[in-house]
Amino acid sequence: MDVPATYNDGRTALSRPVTLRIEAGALVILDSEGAAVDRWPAADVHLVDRPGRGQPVRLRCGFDRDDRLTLADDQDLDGLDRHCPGLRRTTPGWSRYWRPVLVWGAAAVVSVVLVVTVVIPRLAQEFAFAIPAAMQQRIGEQTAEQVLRLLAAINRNEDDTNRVCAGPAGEEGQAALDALAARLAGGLDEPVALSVRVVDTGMVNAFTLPGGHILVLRGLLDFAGNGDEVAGVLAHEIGHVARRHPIKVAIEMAGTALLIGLLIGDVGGGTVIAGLGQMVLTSAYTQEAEREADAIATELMNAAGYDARHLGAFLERVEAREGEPSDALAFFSTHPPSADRADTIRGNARRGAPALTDAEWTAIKAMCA
Amino acid sequence: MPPTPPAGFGRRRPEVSRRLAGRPSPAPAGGAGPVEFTGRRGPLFKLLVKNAIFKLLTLWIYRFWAKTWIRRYFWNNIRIDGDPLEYTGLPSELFIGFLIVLGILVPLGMAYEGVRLVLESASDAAQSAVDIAYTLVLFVLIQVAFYRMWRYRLTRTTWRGIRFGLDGSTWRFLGLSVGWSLLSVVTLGMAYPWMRVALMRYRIQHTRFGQTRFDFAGSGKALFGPFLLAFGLPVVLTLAFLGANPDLGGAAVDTVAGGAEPEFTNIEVHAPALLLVWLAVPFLYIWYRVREFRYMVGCTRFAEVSFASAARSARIIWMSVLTVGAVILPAFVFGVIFALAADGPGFGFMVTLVVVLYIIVTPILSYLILRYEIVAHVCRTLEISDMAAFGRVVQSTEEVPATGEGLADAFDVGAI
Repeated sequence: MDVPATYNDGRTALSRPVTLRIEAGALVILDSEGAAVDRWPAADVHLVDRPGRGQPVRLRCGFDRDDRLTLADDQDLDGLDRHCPGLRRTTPGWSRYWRPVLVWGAAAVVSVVLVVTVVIPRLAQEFAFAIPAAMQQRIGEQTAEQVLRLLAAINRNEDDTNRVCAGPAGEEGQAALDALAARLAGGLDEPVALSVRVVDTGMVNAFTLPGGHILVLRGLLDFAGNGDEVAGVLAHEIGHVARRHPIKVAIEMAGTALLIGLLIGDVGGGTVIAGLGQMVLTSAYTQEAEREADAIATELMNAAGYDARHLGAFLERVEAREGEPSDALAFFSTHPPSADRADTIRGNARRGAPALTDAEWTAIKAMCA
Repeated sequence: MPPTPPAGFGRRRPEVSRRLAGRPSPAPAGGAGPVEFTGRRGPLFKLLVKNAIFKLLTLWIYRFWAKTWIRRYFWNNIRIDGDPLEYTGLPSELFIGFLIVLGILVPLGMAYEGVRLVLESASDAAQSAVDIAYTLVLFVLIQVAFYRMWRYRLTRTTWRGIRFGLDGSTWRFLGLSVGWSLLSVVTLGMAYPWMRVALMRYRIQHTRFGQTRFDFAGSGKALFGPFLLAFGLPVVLTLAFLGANPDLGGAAVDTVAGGAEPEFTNIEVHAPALLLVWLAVPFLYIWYRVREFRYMVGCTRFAEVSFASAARSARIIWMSVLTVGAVILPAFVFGVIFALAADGPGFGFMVTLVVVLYIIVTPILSYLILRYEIVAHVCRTLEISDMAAFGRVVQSTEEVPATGEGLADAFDVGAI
């Protein structure tokens, strides 16, 4: 079968008319005098790209050579298909690329895994402890201001002066809280600076900010069944302070943002995926921090001679009140499932004395009154 | 004209031969120029949708394959003197480039991020120092990424089996870029046209087809007028507005308080006029870029061959408006629907679905309407003085880079 074609020899940018003879096992390129210019083994003939209907068809020999054949349209494509088994392959496939892909792919996977599991947490830890205490204090105070403003906005509490329950009526409760915190912190290997404040807000929660600032919300005091539960929560927050979790998690989040940005590359749809990925990673880091704080809380309660099982019970009651998050959402959750946490705490807790006297507990509950 | 007239816009070809008057101009009979664009929006749309679906399914890793197929589509449909360009790049090369950047840049970036965080909390001065350093590093990396990207694309472009290429040094280009950028800042932007020309000169003079280099003869002087009109005019008018209406805030307070009537009553005339000028800024920008493009093309030489472009900003502006409209209109419609249907069952899920769809559809529209049109229009309005000269070009023996665009991908530079 002879087909008219145009030939580029890959050495000069001239197009010359040739005749393409399709034989068994080869394409022979004949010039206008009928002399063979080149002979392409049929097995090596590939389309340069999938042709459009009625569009010219371009052919190449192997994937390294520069010479090309162009047929005016696609009517001889079926004939070529019969002779050239690899005709429709327009890329060389992975045979020659598997090595660099494997090497660099492995390097990329290893580096990403290392970065996520080791580099980010370790680096964050190092930096969290490298920041001087005075600076942590300053950051903590600034953050506390922001948190208080945020809480005020959420609760539409416009009266700024009453945000922290620090009036004369709360002095006795404050003293009891400070003493409790000091007793619990006594179990730590290294002393930490603590500043515990109660905020007049109905939410059941407590925060730890950089520099040892702990904010206990009034809602948590209302919800707690006894002083031991509050002591357990306080021990947990002191655990966050001892491990410098607030700064550490902030650094971890910044590192994650950078990593995911690089992984996803282009903007547009990638941003959604990047957001989801970041939530999952952040969640992993905060859950890790919560488990650490639980473990320290149990130790501190044991060392101070109190019963940490109250903390477990408290966590379960809070979850029962708020409703258990679904399994799918747990992937994004900042806290591990409460049942697991309570089990772990109970497994390591020892029986103990009440953490607060009735008078102290009453005074603490009355701080925001 | 091609046997089947291309669908879509721009069947009318502006006459450009007069720009090459006096030069040998073997314009083929029938009015078709030396460069045709044979693409159609239908197949491109199918390709874009297929790519979007695969990208979604592979968490965006398919983007290297998607990019390659899109480039193949555009390159194959650009016919110069009857023969198409060919894109010989492979997805695996882009993918490996990405892996290399990931394997090297991620640990480096992490260490950098750590230093930044510690220094940032130190003091305000340290914080600004770190921010400036960060911006500079980013700027440098982006310049490097650009040059590497051009080199990759040129070495992966062939015509009649002959490869294009880009030699010259990335670091020299970086030096030029940094120097001119600083000069532009120092001169309050006045050096901008000269910077554009200097950088383009470096690129063009180091671009090869086969063994023959392109050349470039131009000066920023020719672009200074358009530059002043496009960028200077809005600035001058804004300053004039502020000059004519001093103490704008005070006037508003006076009026509200029912005090003395402000002295400058023509603010009602000035403010809408200024708003109009600001609205025109994007169009002025496009107009300048097209002007610049035509000038750069006219300055380019290939041996004794000269080039001219009759690209028109009106068409690009119209397509930009159309693209922006196509993107904003659905957003508006869905916004209204959501406002009405708020708090219905499954509302949150619906919103998420639509946002995801929107993020996927927007780039498709941008390719389909604007980028397609830019390529088609630029091809159809390009004039080449002597096609035969290209036939004398001999293949280059230069080595080509083995992997592609890792950095450029990380910084998301480059349109197609």
